[in-house]
Amino acid sequence: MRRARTVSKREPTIALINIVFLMLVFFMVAGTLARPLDNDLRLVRTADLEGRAPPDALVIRADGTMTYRGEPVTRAADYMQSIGGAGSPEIKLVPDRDLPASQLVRIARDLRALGAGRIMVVTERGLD
Amino acid sequence: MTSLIDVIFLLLLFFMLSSTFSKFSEVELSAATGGGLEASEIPPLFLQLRADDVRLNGDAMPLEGLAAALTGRPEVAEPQPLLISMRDGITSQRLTDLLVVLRGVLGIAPTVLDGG
Repeated sequence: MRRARTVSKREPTIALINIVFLMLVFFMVAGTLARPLDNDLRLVRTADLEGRAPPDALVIRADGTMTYRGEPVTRAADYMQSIGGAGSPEIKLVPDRDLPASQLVRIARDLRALGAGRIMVVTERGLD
Repeated sequence: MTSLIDVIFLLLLFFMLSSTFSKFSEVELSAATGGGLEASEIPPLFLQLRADDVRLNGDAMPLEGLAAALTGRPEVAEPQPLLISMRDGITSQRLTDLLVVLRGVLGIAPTVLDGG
């Protein structure tokens, strides 16, 4: 009787570790480590495209302002310089879905004129 | 025992806070390159992107019917240029939807003209 009570008083450390370990494994397997993008950025949604690694690229907000890794970028030339100069084979852009397409095309044309090879638009893959 | 769960808890916090569950993909934006278009003898197709439909050589059609209309063209030897112009008020979402549709069509070389 007395022994049973002392056993029930012990904290269930093993069970706690088990649960926490399960959660750890889940987040390690299911999540992808990535640098966070802009918080209020709403990505373009697409379906039927292959998946890609999370982008580390030029973010264009809905009002046309650009940021890269949280720092504002005023001109496309600054971005090209910060990623290692001209002649990059592939440049990724992360536009907001409400950005006017003419501005997106203008930025893409500027980057192309600065020596970018292909311009890729990064989108968020839908679940369907 | 206590130090073990401390370390595991730290790892759990790290992975919870730094991982993302968004799935990304990408599509190529083939924008105008500044006058590299005139070399082809094949007459280009002209596509106007509007807010609720598209016009291919003047014929209005929904975006879903565009792939079928482009597939029904006569066969040509090399990719046929497709010039895309945009009206005002077209968002990046709309343009990307179009690019995804065009990505599945063979034998065309789309080019997005700027200043819409």
